Amino acid sequence: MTKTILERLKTLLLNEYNIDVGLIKTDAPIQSLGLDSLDMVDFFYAIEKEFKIKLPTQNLDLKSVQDLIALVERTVKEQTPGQPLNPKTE
Amino acid sequence: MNRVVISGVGVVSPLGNSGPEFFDHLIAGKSGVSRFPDDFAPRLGIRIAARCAFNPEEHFPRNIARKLDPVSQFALVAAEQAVQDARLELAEEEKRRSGVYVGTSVGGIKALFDSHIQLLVENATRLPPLSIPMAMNNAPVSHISARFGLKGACLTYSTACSSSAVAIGEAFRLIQHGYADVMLAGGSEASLEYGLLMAWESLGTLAPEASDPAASCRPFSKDRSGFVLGEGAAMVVLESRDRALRRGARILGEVIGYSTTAEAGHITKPSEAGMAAAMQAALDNAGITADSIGYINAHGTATLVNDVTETRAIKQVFGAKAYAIPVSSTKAMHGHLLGAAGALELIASVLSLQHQILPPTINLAVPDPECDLDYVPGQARKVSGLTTVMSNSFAFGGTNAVLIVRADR
Repeated sequence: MTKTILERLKTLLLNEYNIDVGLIKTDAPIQSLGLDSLDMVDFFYAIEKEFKIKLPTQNLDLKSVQDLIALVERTVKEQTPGQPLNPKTE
Repeated sequence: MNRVVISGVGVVSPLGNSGPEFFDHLIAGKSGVSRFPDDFAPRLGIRIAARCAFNPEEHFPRNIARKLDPVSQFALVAAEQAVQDARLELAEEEKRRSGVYVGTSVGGIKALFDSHIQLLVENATRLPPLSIPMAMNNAPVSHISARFGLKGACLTYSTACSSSAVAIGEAFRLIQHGYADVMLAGGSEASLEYGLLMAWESLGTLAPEASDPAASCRPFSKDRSGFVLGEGAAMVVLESRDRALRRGARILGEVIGYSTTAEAGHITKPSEAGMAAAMQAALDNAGITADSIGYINAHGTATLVNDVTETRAIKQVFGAKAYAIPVSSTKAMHGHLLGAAGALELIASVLSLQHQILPPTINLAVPDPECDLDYVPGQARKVSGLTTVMSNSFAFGGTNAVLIVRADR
């Protein structure tokens, strides 16, 4: 079993914000995560810790959940090329 | 002018996390002072403090607790208790005329220190975004306002050790003059952090650890050597007496006098004249004479300077009557809560009034000829006919505050 980026984001949301987005689809709008603007900044920080990356903070045009997944994937490949994106679950 | 009463109290303290538990322990002469664990703050020399037994997860879901500095956690829990104790319910239209004043000395200092550790020790390239809203001094007020929907005046007072006495006094005036009907007021402090403890140690006002940590702080005793730092929060519900009577609230006492005056002098050293002026101004504000006061909860920090100066100031204001008024310092038991001290000690005074029993000054073993008042040494004292109490708060920076509460009549 491997964990997708989406699953890792969902785990973060559940653990840090007590938000269960259930079977959210990747084309869902980013707002459907249920985070206000302050939470979103904080969520980005949590993502940075989880994926050991540094995300840009400006000029982000994230419309859908897929945009966020793509941003994380792109940043991981740029900044920590050796890191497995879909680590094995225990 | 409106009369203003206290209808509920809430306490998070080294002597327990409720008003009744706190007061029971005060009356039992129990100390909340203990040693830090050996692995905490390795370079700290004075390794004692009065800490709260407080588990945030008993009070908040984990995802909420992690967004709150302890100073806000303490304040929210104390406010919640005070509201429940007062059986306070606010209609929507009343919330615009209700607010909250909180005093704190250093606010969310843990959030700030934690981010500094990440920056300087862990070489972080980004700091937690919530550091700012967690650390800001007005976070406790903001969270309490949001929790109870209070939309009137919501302000933070920071005048060091008198912060929460000022918060309560200013809230009292606000209701008295008709700008609000209900106020939550008090203080919160959560500053037992390595960096601050080391700084306090340098300043030289902390009591060295006695062989029994509980005996370290010895107010008014000849062998006194300073205070022990504490933490916690204390909040009261203040409301206009008319409103309290209309809803059949239990009234714990009426706030009848408040003063805040400044030393306009030394940054840390209080003066006899300044302390006396503060007490006299509170008496004048209450429209009573010194004869009416039946108990004084002293600032009583157990520093060499404070206790003798406060004793002289009491004698200056009360004259020969000073010797007949019981004066105790409860700081030896709950520690010095800094920004929350004034509110906690006011609650001690109000509960003394309610139960007609005075908390003792513990650890007063060696008489000091210069401290020759009745400090209720060692053991609590039952009294009868106690009607009016005074609580003193004198602060670094020179902002003094005195509150006077009378049994309702």
